Amino acid sequence: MKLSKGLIAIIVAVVVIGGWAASAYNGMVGAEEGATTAMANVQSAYQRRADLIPNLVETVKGYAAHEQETLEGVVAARSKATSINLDPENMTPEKLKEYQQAQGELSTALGRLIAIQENYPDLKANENFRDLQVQLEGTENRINEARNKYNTAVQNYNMKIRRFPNSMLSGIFGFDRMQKFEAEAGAEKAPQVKF
Amino acid sequence: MTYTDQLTLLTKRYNDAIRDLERSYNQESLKGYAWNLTSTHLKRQYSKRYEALQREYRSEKRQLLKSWKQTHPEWSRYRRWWERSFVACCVGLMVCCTTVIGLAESDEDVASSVMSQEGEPTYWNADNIVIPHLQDASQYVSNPDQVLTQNAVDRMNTTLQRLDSELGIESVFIVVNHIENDDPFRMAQDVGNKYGVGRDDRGLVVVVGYEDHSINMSPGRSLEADLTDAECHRLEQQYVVPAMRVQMPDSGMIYLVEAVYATLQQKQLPQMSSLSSHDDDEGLDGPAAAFAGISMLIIVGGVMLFLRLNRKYHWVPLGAATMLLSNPFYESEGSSGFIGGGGFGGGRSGGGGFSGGSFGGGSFDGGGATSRW
Repeated sequence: MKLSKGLIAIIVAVVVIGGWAASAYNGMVGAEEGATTAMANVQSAYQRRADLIPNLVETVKGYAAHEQETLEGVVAARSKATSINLDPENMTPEKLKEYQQAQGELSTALGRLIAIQENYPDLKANENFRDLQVQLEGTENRINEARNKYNTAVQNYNMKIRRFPNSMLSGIFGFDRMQKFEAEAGAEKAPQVKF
Repeated sequence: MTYTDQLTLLTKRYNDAIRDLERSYNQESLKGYAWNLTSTHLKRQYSKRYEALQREYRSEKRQLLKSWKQTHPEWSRYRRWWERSFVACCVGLMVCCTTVIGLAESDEDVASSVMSQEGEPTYWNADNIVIPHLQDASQYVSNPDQVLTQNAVDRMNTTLQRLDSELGIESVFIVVNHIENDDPFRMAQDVGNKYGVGRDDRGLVVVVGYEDHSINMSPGRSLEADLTDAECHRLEQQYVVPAMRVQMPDSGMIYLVEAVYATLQQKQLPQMSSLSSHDDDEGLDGPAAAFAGISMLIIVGGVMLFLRLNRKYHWVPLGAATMLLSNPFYESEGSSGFIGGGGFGGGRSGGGGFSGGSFGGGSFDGGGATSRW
């Protein structure tokens, strides 16, 4: 059967559009996976910080048993922070904000805990406590790096799904914008520690 | 009678004449001839008479030496040999000293020229820092401000090359005076991620801001388990901070590199005292110290040999009995001049070319530790 020119043109167009659609879809999937992996790294870094806290609390308790309120505050903040898990598949701005807020509260509580060393020279000189401080600093650095890499991956993903002509496909296949980590309100001010 | 004995007699004769002259001057001064002649004029007259005596003495001394050389040719030959050896030794030592000093000063000149040429200090970051490893695979240390000496850099490169070949750990050590925003952590992370330091994420980047008083050690993602944050901090506090506080950056960095190698090889960590014999920021280095020791030996040996032989052959009279009295009527009018020796500059030749290296595409996640002093 002899194909008409029109039919050939249609077949070619379908093949070309299909090829482009497949390529675009794969690109968006790759970018989304990159962003979700980066989010998993962020959560891993936060978990690493949470894992340091029990050892830190025990060390401080041995020298500063009177600081019950501060110790309990850290434990409570840790429980709250670890109870919130982010599912990259079902992440909403509200959930991300709640997660950030919980981690921020834990950061504040930890800051208070570290600050009490100034009143306890023996605690300050304790080698275990110093090592824990170093590990905490390293963990905070890892959190910052992971957040930066996550934001870069999200930016890359968002640009991919929003640019034309990918934007036509992203809605069809359910690729939604992802949220970046943002600085908390008032983060530019140093926290005040009250004893 | 030896040459020295004859010279002693001659000197004694003229010294007696000078003493007589001095007595005569004192008598004339006391007798009052000063009423007719001023004391300065009298002194000048006697000074001229002293100078005449001095000329006579020197002439007789030359005659004595000449006749002794003619009658004692072997004595004359040995004496000439010693004179020439002495002069040659002196010239040789001067040349060697000047060369060693010239080499030492050229190192300092290079270091000072970096600052003097640029005027303002450079604040380094991952974009403007030079990574020597990319041009030469045997170089792991970036030292653009010449904080470290070349000896220290060479020694660090040797150990870091072993770290690479034996353990597969790529590394970059950056030692500068100032870091942008005084943030060595940021610079280490940026350098590590930009250049992909480390095969299989087993890289190590160390950044030191010497005049900022800061250091950061950043292990790659897969190296963090072997070189933990606490371990990095401990190495910094144990080896780098004490050395930097006493302004010994060479020692601090060499110890750190050796300690990192030992830690990753799970060997015993180096003791700072055991490395002190290899590294000395302020003393003489190997060749200069050897030269100084050999020079002292030659000088002392030569002097002892000369004294022994001189006692036998009486070449040079060394006692005070063979020295003419100085002019007692001399009034200082000026100083005598000296002829200085010349100097010879040393030089160094540059090295040849090497093949450039590359990194294994590693990544960094923020691990490590920062210390300040």
